[in-house]
Amino acid sequence: MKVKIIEVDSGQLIGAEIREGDKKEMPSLADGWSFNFNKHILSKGKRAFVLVKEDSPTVIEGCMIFSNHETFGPFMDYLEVAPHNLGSKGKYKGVAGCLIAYACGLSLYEVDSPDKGFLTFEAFSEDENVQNRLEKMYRIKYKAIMNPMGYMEIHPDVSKELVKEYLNDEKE
Amino acid sequence: MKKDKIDRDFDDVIGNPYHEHQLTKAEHDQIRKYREDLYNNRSKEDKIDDILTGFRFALRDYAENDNPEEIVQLGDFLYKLLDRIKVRKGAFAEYIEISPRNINKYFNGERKFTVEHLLKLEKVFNVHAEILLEIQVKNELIQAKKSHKGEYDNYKLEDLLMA
Repeated sequence: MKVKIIEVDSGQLIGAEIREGDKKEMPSLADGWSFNFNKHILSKGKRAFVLVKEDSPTVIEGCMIFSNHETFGPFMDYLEVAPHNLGSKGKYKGVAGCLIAYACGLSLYEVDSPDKGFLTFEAFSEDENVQNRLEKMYRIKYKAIMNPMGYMEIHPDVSKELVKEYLNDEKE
Repeated sequence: MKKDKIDRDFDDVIGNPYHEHQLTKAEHDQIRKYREDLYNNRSKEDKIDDILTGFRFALRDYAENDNPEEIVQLGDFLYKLLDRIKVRKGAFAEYIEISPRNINKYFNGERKFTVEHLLKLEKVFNVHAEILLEIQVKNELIQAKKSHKGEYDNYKLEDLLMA
């Protein structure tokens, strides 16, 4: 799916694409990422999606692992942006938002009721302060709420908002 | 996405490599009841809108995929949509003025929806007719290239200019 991300230096919108990832291209700790996406893609029931720029389709700007959890339904196992997109010196922003919105879209299309449009994930850090900040960020940025088991959830109305905002869903 | 959405506060990272996300049966049942209650509290209109948003997402995702693994007919998307909103194929055919006897041919790609059909679908399902047409044409091109492999390579501008 064609999307737009923001080049931080220029403020310009840049053409990008979200597509299903191939195991050969999955990043790992060895590449400076926090997760071994090259291993997670091999787990049963997991699908990997990558965001790349249109003019550099082999450079991964962000990566997401999506699955259908037996309890939570549509589940975002892992999401991370490339090391060169981290922090105030990051090259591109909006990468995570586009991937999360894409996961919301998958939930709205592929999943049946009662889980249609829901997306669950865990905001985790080994540092409790960082974890609290992450939870707060997801509440504010993506209107996620906490479910009874302590996982964060995006609900259908917000899923639709994110699809509209990040993926330019245009009704007729 | 819109330009004003730069967030400089914190970087998104999701995942817990130490946790398998296995729940007890009691926890599982609790979450399932919680989810059912949330779903049941949604209005019928919201549920239909959820389905239509998913439909538009899937159409766009397929239309913009340069290398689809397999051809998905426009009819496949419509069939799934009708099933989810619980509309019979025959009722749908009659409503957009296609003979119910022929509707399966439209669903399996044997017959193409006309522009008139697509304009009706645009209004009914809140989706741009352009993207419906794009999917039909995309599939026709993929099929033609497969079944006439190399045949069109013989056509060149130089030959036309010399003709």
